[in-house]
Amino acid sequence: MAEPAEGLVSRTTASLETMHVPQALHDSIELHKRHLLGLAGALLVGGHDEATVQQTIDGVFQSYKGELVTAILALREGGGDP
Amino acid sequence: MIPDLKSDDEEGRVQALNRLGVLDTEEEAPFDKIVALIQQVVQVPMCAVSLVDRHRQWFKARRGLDVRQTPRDISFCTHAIRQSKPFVIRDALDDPRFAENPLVTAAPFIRSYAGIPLKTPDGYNVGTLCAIDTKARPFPDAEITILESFAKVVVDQLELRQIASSDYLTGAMSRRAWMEKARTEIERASRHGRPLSLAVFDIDRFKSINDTYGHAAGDRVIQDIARLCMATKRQSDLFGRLGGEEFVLLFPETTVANATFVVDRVRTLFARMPLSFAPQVHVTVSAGIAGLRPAETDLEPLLQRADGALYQAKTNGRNRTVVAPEDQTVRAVGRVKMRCRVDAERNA
Repeated sequence: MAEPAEGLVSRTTASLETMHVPQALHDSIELHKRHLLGLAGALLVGGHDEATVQQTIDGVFQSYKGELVTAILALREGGGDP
Repeated sequence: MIPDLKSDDEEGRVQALNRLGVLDTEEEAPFDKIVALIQQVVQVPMCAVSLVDRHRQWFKARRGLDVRQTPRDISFCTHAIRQSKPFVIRDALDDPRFAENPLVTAAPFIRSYAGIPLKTPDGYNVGTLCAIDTKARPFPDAEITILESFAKVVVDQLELRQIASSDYLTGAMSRRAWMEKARTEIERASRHGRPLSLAVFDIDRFKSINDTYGHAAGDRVIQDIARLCMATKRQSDLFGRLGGEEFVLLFPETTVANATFVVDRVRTLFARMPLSFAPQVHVTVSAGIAGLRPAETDLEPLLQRADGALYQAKTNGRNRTVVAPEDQTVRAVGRVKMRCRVDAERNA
């Protein structure tokens, strides 16, 4: 299940590549990608079809991305984006 | 096997929960979305992100549950956070721990439960992600694995929020996060007619530290004063970095007299601390303090008065604490009983 899961997560998180993310958030993003991968794999193993898994991963990532944008703005404002 | 010592550290666990700064906040779309997804994927009528406070469980997000919190002693989640593994009840009526539980015998009529501990990176179970059904049912391994994965992304979001609200250099609250929380505290104090004080600190002659020893040394001085403030303050006090070498401490339920006592202690301790990179040098701070006036509801005038007092402390020679002139009468009255009251008040 690793390959389909990776493909699903890569498609979802591709938009991050165009964002300038402060160093302080890099670890958080990497960890979140790993957790998305785990979730996608667990859903596929649990018998959910790819469309449902993609939809779920998209939903979770959109929530995270919203918080991420807030975090980036807060870090820039506080000087945490050297 | 290494014992999980943190499962017995209730005080540390509650502090870890408070550090997240999420208790009693509004319901928010990101967490609501996650519980909606879980409800859909695991097909349960109820699902929640439950945070277990000292005496209650409080739901940051919930589906199918009418209440926002319940007493902790009847909560299933309080059992779940004592474990490092998922906590599953297939049929609550068959379990003597829960058969008579009011959440089982009355609404919401919980019959089966799966709770995954929400473990912070520092190892504390601050709550659970829980899936609940009104009929007896198993939670197969595949579902538990899915719930565990969802629990990890919930913790990701909580952690991300903490990073955003913390100052990157010191771990104090960021300016934005501090101002948001300070406004809430002021509103609360004003509504209930409770005392509240605010102190603004500034490191004396900070530019010369930077010029003489370099910016890395300056950063270490900033970290030192922040560490001292965080070690001295109560859990309920709000400590933030306003910017540069300026910090702010808000003391709920505290008179100007008692706040002055605490600030002076920090100031004195800091002046005695030798610098690790130049042991012969001692750095000092100046502080300005102001108290919330009756019927005052805004942060800005309070901050301005404290800032004005800080300016006085600087112009009067530095390494001192000045109370805003408008609050000095309050301070004089308070001082009479200060020494005997301060410990009781701060330990309350």
